[in-house]
Amino acid sequence: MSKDWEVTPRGIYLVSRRLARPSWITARRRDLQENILSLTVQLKTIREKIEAKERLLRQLNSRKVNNHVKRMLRKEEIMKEKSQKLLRHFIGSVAYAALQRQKFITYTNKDGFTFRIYRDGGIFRKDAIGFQELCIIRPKDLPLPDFIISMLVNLRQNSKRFRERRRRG
Amino acid sequence: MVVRLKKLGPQGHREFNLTLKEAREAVDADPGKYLIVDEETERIIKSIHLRDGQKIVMVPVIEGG
Repeated sequence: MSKDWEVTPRGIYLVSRRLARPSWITARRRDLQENILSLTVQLKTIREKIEAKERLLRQLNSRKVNNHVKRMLRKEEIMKEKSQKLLRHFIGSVAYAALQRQKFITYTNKDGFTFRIYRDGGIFRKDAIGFQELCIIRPKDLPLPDFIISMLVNLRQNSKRFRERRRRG
Repeated sequence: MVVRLKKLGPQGHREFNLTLKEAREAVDADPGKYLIVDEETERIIKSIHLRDGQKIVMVPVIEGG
């Protein structure tokens, strides 16, 4: 290996040169060919992924899908209105207004337990310390007003099966 | 005369007008999964107490964690 000095405006560089033997050249060629091949395969895969995503996006942007989305949103809107109406009917206008205003209603069942049912679905039971949150498995996709109605009925039926949520730390 | 049934579930509540027999069958179809509430008195009832012209709500049983 030989070394030369190279003086440039940015500084002085020590340049090394090595003799390129045929074995090194062939190995380097092979490496480059393999790299190019691998990158070409990757590029093809990425292109296919992009095309698939573009196809899906085109489908999701179609008029048919747009109409379906509009229909489903309207259905959800009606569903929410119906749920709110049923909740108001169930708990009465005064309690419904209280739920909207103070974000919770208080309910005492026949066993003498007092509960706070929050607008966001949190359920608390009063004990000696204060209100403790209960551990409840909320059914998937059940609209919130329907969940509040369900909780009121379930608490009325048997509140003892709900335990307090364990505190962390 | 029919029984007006509201069933609370994932798609919001669905409403049905059923004969007394159909209503009893609907109520008994998923034992232990729903509580039946009289919409007017708001009392929890059993299928045997169903009567014509009644409005009922099927409320899902909520599990504790």
